[in-house]
Amino acid sequence: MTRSSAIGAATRRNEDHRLLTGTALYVDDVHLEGMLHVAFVRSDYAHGLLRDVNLSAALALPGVIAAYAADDLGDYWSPGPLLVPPPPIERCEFRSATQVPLAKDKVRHVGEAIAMIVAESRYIAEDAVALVEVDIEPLPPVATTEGALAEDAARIHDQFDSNQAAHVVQEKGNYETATANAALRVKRRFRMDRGASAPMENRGIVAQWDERCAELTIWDTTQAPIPIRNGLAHMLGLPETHVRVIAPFIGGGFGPKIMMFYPEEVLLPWAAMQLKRPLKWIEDRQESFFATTQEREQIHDAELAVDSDGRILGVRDSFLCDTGAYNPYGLTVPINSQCTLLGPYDVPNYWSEFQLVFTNKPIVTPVRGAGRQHGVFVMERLLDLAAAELGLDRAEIRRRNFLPPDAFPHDHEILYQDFAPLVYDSGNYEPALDKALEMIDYDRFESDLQPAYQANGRTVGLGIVSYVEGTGVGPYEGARVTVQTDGRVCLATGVGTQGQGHFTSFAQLVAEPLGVSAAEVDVITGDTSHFNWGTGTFASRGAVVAGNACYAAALAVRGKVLATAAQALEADESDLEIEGGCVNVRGEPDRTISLGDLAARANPLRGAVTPGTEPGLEATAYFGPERGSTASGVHAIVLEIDRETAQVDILRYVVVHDCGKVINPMIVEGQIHGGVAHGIGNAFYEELVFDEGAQLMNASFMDYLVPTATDVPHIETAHITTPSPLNPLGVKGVGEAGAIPVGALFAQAIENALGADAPEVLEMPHSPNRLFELLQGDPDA
Amino acid sequence: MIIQSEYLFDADRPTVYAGLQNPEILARALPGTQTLEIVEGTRYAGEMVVSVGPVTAARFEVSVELTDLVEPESFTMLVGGKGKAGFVDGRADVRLEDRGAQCLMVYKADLGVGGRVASVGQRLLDSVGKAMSQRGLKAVDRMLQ
Amino acid sequence: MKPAPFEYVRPASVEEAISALTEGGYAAKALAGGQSLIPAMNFRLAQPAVLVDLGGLDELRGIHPRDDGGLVIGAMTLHREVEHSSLVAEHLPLLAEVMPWIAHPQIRNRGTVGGSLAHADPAAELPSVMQVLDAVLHVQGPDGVRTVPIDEFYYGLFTTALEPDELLTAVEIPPLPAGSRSAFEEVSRRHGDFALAGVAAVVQEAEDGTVARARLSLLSVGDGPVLAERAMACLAGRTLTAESIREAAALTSEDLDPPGDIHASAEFRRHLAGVLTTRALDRLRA
Ligand SMILES: Cc1cc2nc3c(=O)[nH]c(=O)nc-3n(C[C@H](O)[C@H](O)[C@H](O)COP(=O)(O)OP(=O)(O)OC[C@H]3O[C@@H](n4cnc5c(N)ncnc54)[C@H](O)[C@@H]3O)c2cc1C
Repeated sequence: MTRSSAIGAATRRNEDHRLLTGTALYVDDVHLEGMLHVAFVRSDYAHGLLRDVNLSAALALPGVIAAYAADDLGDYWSPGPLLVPPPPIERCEFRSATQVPLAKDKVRHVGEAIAMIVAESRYIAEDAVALVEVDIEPLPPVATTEGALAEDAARIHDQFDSNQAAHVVQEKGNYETATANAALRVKRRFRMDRGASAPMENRGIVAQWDERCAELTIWDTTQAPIPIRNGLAHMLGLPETHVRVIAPFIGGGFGPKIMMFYPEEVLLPWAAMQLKRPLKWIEDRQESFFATTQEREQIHDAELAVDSDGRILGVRDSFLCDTGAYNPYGLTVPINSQCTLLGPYDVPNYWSEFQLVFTNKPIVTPVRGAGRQHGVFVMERLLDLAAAELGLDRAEIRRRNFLPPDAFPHDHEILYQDFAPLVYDSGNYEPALDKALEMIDYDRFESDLQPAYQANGRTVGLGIVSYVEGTGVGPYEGARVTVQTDGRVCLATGVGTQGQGHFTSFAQLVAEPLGVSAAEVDVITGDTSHFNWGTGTFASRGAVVAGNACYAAALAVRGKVLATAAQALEADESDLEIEGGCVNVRGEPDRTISLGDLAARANPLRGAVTPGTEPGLEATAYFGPERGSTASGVHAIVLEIDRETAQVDILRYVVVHDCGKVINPMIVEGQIHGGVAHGIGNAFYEELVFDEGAQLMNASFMDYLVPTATDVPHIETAHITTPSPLNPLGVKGVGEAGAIPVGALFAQAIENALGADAPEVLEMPHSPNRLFELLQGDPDA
Repeated sequence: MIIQSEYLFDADRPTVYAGLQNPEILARALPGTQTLEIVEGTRYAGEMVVSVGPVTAARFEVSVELTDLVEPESFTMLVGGKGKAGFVDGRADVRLEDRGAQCLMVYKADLGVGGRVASVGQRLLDSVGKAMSQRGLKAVDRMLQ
Repeated sequence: MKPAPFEYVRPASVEEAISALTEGGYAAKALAGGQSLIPAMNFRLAQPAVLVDLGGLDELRGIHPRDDGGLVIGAMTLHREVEHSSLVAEHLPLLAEVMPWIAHPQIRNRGTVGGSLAHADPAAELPSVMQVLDAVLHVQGPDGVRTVPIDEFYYGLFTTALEPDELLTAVEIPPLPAGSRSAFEEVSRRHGDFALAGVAAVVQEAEDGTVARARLSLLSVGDGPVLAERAMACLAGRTLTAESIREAAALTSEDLDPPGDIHASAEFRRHLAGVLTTRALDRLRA
């Protein structure tokens, strides 16, 4: 039995056969004749003056073809572009310093690239790396976010008088006057540490220069092939049409692969043109811990003011955000934190200030969630603390503050990362909370289950938190749909794919209007020779922005199909229906023609057409929403703590999620599962530990702990559907949702488990070692 | 990384103190040191080949400087090591105490470790630091006999 | 992450392997399962000039029963073979119990008993287990064969009684004395990670129900396996009660000087050692 491919059906994934049989193409699968291999010399020091780079011993090694330091790049050496300029916020100071292809004069983080070696094999290239003599005069490193702004902190960028990269204030209402008579204020300091995106596949690039055709082809693990193509064409002085960027199958993106331009991305194409040989560089796991961007270090000083019923009067937050050694991604992360803090709640007064600071650590750009975790953590923790003070139930304090269903669109009166005002399009929060409470057995937990655990000497706690996720931001994406003469449908879109199931959900969006099955739709993503308008896969926007473009293109093709069929069948369009790959006259099964035959008719080889006729059953469409759509959800957990060993075990995990109309529930659940796994990592396992020298202490999977299959529990999910009015399909994004609230959830559940005298959990991640310290009553350890 | 420990020498305090000013004996305190020569006064430089567990034959250029010398009680040792596997940089405060005919060394080293040894070897740094310092002092002790 | 160049030899006999090691001197390394050595080489922390692959030495494989119920396990026997051995399950339940704690199935499919014992990682489980089982190590070098009792095998961090040109050929484990019970306890961050702390315990009960002999060895809290000697002594002649167990656990913690790392401070490790000792001994109460 074939499964339904209708929009909303759990259609089996088109891509899985290739992925599971090892026949999908990844960048490292590209093997070209005469291909050379690249390795990089990277800094051991976090901060220092680069006195000398001596390549002569490396160049003398047999098998080494070329070696480059910054000075060898000539005019091509140039700092990368500021990828995301700051939004037009009134009170915003911003200073930008972007990454460089190879360090010149100075190194600013451990692992920064200093020289590039090209050799006959990766082995030889790495042997040569070991022969490069680098003379660095160490400078005092800026190792912490707070330390960055100290009077005597070393300056990372000499052109600025401090390490402050930005200072931004956004305000709504007036916090001071509105909260003057608040019944309660809770104020705390919250910390979130750094994590890696840790994709299964690291980054990689293959560059091939075809001199005869003057064409450059690049296979790149990027989430944004089109902007990479356009940028590289510009840098290399080539017409855009002569640069082809292919982002084939990619083993996970999670944000850092949207960064551009990475040094390696700029250097390989250039060197391939210089050497006239194809080049390959595959990032190894160790490099990935330094050379791929990271995220999450923030420190918030936040205060919540409520009235005696627990209703929010206002929030005041001042935070520091680490951007690492450079800030090519502008303010996206801290603005996401600033905006997402407001959550599903009615916050009439808000004062939020942040400082973005440079440190001698790897560059920060969005990683799945992209700052949203931090806002949710702060708000949810403040609500928990307020509820405890007021003797209010934690679910109740949330319920009382939810924006009601008739409050939409709701304007939060501040600007979001997409430069548009933070306006929630739609939402219905209470049913999600009720559903989650029911699924996690909230009432019985408090009254029966927890006391029963306690009686057995077990320490078990429950957590329940809400969140929103801004998704589906613009500017736009496009898609082209073509019916082929064999009746199959080809769909090309510009976004890259890193495991999201695009080959299936996009296929469903096209299959339904064209009356075919999803399996009959061949999807092409991420190849600029097939589609070259668009921006990329990020910010949970694929389904919303590209999805609606696919749907619009399919509807346009449907129009052409019907018009062509009306002629062929000599019937009125309104009497036609499309089903099973054929167009029929309703009620007359003999009057039928297949999509393939129609495609052939639409592209005649001889004869004449009516002037103005466009050939083929093909259409291209674009979609750009006015602004992003706001998804939401509630997560609930039951966890057990071993008080003696400080180990935590998850007993149950519930997600109730609202991403508007669901295209494929199986894929949505998969996204949520992956997100929760990521969130569990961020909450409990994953922390990039830097010492006082800004040296990363855990640059391997032995010490950087990603939750494994045995650490991720069974996840129970349910959906609430509140369509978005901002796009024809009514969809919202889901890519990051699973990851966002997990830290806050863990913290609440740990406190709940430990009972009345529980230490406050104000930071994430929360390792057993940290829990041990707290249990020992040593919060400052 | 902080390494804090003690070592009981089978020699008296003046002998231990004087011995540690001798580059040939001082070299023993840093296991794997192949050469250590006086650069000037109490500054020394040389080469070290470290083998501990999974680390084999990692070469380091080392520099040592003894400062704040209070004979025969205490001194500070500034150490630096640099090689392909990474670098070490820091200081050790050393105090010598009489224990009858023996001498107790109390030391506290504050070392910054960088590069590959730090980024993939963190699990063992503490143990390696402790073990290497003890092994070194044992070798010095033997030399002093 | 590619290793530096090295020479590779694959000897056909133990003698050949030993002469290859002798020739290579300190620059030669035996390669067993490679699960510890190869990562170190790929990080270029280990750069042996010669790799002597023991993979072809079938004489070093296998689990052989002794007449008295003891076992001789060849150095090249895979962790996985021990894990699934019915002989081991029957005669040495402690060894069977510990195997799933060693890394992950993929690694146990390649890692060897001899590699684990010779490598002497302070976080490894097998050295502690062999210690409480009173194992004897079979060593072969250019001058022939010798045996080393386990208590004399570990010298310090990653250091054993093996000379660079000696091979560990087998480990011989006597049968558990009558009246013995054993237990293993460990805490790690994720399943399969190196332990934050662990303990292996064997207690032999006398006719009268008192402890005739106790063996307690801890892992990941020192330079190698750490025998909890005072705790062992304090249990001898007493029955296992909440009181005596508490005392033994306290002595165990007290006597340690554990290292700290990013996953567990010295303090936390010391605490865990006490908790795990209590749990292991609790399981051994009649
Ligand atoms: C991800 C990961 C997790 C791990 N977790 C654990 C864990 O939790 N617990 C644990 O105990 N181990 C763990 N290990 C290590 C694993 O158990 C190794 O298999 C074991 O430590 C070494 O065995 P090997 O056969 O692979 O030895 P190899 O790596 O081949 O050799 C290790 C060392 O021993 C020497 N050697 C090997 N055999 C002999 C011999 N017969 N005679 C003399 N010298 C010899 C080698 O020269 C080398 O110096 C882990 C490894 C990995 C990669």
